[in-house]
Amino acid sequence: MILTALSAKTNADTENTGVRTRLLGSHNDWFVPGLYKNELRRTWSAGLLFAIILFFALPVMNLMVFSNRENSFENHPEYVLDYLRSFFSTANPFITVYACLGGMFCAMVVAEYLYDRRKTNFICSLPVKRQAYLLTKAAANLTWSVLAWVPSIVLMLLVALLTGTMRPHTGLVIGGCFVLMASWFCLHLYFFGLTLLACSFCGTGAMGGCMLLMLGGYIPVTVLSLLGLADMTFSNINTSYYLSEEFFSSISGVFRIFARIAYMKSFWFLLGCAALGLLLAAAAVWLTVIRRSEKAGTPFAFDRVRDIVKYLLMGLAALLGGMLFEAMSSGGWSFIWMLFGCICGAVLCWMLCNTIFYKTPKMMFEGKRGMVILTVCLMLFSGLSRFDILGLDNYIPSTVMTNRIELQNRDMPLTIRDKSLVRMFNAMAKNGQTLYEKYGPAATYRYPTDKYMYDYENWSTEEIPQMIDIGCTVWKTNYLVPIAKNIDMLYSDWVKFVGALTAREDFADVYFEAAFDALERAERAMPDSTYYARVYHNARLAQSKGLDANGNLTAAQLRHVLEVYREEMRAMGADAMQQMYSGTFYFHLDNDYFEFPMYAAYDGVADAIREVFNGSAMDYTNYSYEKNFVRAEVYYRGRVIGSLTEAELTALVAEGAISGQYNTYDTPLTLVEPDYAVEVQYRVTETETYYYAVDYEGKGIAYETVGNSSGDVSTSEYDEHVSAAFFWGCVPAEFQQ
Amino acid sequence: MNEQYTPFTGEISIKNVTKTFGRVRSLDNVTATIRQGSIFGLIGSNGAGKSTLLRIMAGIYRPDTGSVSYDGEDIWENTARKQDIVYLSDDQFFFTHGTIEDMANYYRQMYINWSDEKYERLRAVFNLETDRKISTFSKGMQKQASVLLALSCCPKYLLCDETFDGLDPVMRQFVKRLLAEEVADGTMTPVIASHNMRELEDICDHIGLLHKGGILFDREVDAMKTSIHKVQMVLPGEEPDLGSFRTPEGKSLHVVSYKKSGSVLNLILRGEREEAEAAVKAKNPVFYELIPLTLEEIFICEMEEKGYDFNSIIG
Repeated sequence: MILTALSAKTNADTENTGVRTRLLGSHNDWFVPGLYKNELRRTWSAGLLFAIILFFALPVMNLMVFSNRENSFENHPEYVLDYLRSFFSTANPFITVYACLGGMFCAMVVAEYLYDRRKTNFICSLPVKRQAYLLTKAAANLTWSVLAWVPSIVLMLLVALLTGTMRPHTGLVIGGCFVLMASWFCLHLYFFGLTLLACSFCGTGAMGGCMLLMLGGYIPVTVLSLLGLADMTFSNINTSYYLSEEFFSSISGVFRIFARIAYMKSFWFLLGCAALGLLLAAAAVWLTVIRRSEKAGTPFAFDRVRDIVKYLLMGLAALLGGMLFEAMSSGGWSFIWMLFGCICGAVLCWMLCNTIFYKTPKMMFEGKRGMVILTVCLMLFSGLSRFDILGLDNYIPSTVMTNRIELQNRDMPLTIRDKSLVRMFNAMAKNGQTLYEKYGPAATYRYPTDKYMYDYENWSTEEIPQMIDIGCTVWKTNYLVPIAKNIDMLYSDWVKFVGALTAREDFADVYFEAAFDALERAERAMPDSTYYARVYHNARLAQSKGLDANGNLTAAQLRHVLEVYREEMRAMGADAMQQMYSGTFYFHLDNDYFEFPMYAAYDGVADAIREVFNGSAMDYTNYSYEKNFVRAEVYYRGRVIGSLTEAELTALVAEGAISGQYNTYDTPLTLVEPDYAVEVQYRVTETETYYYAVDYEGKGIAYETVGNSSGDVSTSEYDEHVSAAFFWGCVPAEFQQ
Repeated sequence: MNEQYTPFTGEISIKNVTKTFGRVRSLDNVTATIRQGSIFGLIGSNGAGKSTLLRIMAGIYRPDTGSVSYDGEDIWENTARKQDIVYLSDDQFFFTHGTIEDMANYYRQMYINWSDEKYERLRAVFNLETDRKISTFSKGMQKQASVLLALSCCPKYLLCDETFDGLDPVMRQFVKRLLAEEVADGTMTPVIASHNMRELEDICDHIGLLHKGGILFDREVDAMKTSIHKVQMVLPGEEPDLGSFRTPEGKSLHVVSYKKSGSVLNLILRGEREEAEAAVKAKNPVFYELIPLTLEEIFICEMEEKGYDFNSIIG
């Protein structure tokens, strides 16, 4: 039988010649189509899992929300629109979490063969390049990840089209689906690349997971520990800034992504994530190619990485050990205890790492020399920080170390690098011309000059005007002059710049607050004390008065007020726009914070509110300003393409941009950036800018954001019909899409 | 960039290959050549480096120094050369829930020489259920499956690492016959690593002995068997002078070992059969017999000649 079978053996060599040519032509160094198809067949279950998750998280969740809102005021089209905008945007937190977990899962599935010696041997014996195998497998995996979206997207679109639940905003749903998917894909790539890199360093899944934790969290945790140590050992270090989200976002990509769940994710941010993910994946592929096959099943694929990780962990353990014992001890021996903790942490970590990395306690004491050197270095570091040998623990910034002073304002940040200002500031601090105080749990020293704002005689001291002169000159040169040139504006003096001068050392923030009007000061060169008094007075007046309705109004009452508001806003004509700005109406609704500008013409709103507040009147007349229209320019993607008359502007604002809908500060930014902007300049220090974007279907304007650069009146409105139609007529034909 | 496939013509050449794992040197300056059309046996004790050498030949491991080339080209990451080499591990990998059919699909995508016809015929011969999960097979059945799949790839070199372990005697002979048929057809050269010399004796025609990472020995089996002979003889007179075993032409034959048991002398002579017989006859024995040596006996002699204790090498 055997012989029969073998004698009938085909002439494989001859027969396969043609096949060889065909198949070899399809193999290459980076991708193997046959393997791709095979992987797709083998991993369909992962695709199904993803599809199920998305099914529950997208269409089911969506419909559940809508069904819960039935017969509720939240089912109002505006609320629906707002909900959909949040849901179908990068601000949807589910997308970040799903991208994170999904990306990690996919990378681990792709890299799992690196952990199994048998499988690694099998794969590496195949006639496929290592990078081709990895990339083909990754491609198959990504394919399922993407395809898993299809059922959910189709379902949501069907629901939108057939049930009418989302009918008014079908365009948004359709576009939003793809925005959602694109943002997921970018984040998915990032986490995929990061995890793949971690996996390619290691030879076991558990160690790959640990490596991922280390790549994502080692730096923040170490920095946090260093800050803790600094807090413990230094008296004057201000760690508050470094404990901020902003700081950790700057040192940790993973932290940044999660920190931004609730905030905007811009197109460029997501694109950056995708690019970084690809870069990390490329590095992982390279590591996979150069790593030795025999390292499968061992904790680390590279001995050098193993040593680096060991020493990094030892450093962190020493820091934590030192801090622990420092915290537990007190009195004069605390430093000795800190050193003891430092040594204990380093040595224990060293023994533990050796045991885990070499998979035997016999190797616990491997690399004694490195351990001793590192421990000595850590002790020296502790000594340096403890005794402040480098003189870092100084609340008065040294001129040498202070590299910049920041002139701060909400909208006009400015950095001054003038050393004379630094010197002067230091001199003032040392001469006791400013006060300092320690506040808060952290050792932050603040130099308040607020008292000079009350006691303005002190402004006549020689240094302050000089400082302000410098600040004003720089400010004027860098900020005001370009503005003045461009818009030919005149500043009235009702509002003044209220800012802070911040001298930032390496570890210390020192605030120096002042209130002054830079433009007026620079233009008039009037450093007299009465001037500053007036500045202060006016600056205080500039604080918006408002009515905070939080907790006072029910949702139904708010809706009533909003209806009235809407009607009055629509009815407000060009004349009414010039009425006094009378205040701001604040409230929370549906977990969002809203802020509506109030005008004197809003009698109905005032009445409605008054009624709600049992007749207690609102005082709208404490301060006001005139909105003297100067000009309104239309920008298309940054270029001026036309202008609006006051009447057109009023109509636009009244009927379109401010169509009575509420606004929210938590508006997510979708991938679609505004295409058009209308910048309106009033003869006050206020510029209002209205943003418009072409909608996803290309029919017109999808939404508008009305912002205000001065921050005094900030509205954000959306409308896709009225204002779109109006505005469309303003855009030259060549710019219309 | 596509690699061009060129027809098989060459040999696997191992030159000064060294491979170290941590502090253990698994291969130390190994040099050998494996030519087509033979069955190469690689023997050695556990830890001698057999599997490591096979894996380097399969392109799984990269040697620290030296090179392994096939048909003049380095095998490492050379997909065109690796098309002709299939590695059969002692613990072959199969997909977790994979069936033979699944694995066949996979191999089909990987190896351009894959023959469906051969696969179908072998499948019938092995009588394995191709739609059953391989993980539910016994060890021997898994070995059969791996052989079935490997042979269906129609490789030029089949690298077998302890492949016969786990097979029952019948199946072992069957697989050996399959390999022999392939060699007879001139389509495949098996390289079989084993620590069991008796297993290789009846199939290999070239043997390499690995010990402590180095090749101690690398010979044709036939040449070994025809150049050394075991002689049992009874001489009428006193014990012969061991240096006096000469052919009628005067060529002196080397006596590798000598042992007397009663009146029977047991000798191992190095030389051709005719020469050995002539030299023995020249002593006018009462009785003599030339007995073929087993491979193990030949190795014992060879190793002892080189100063090694063979039993400690093979264990």
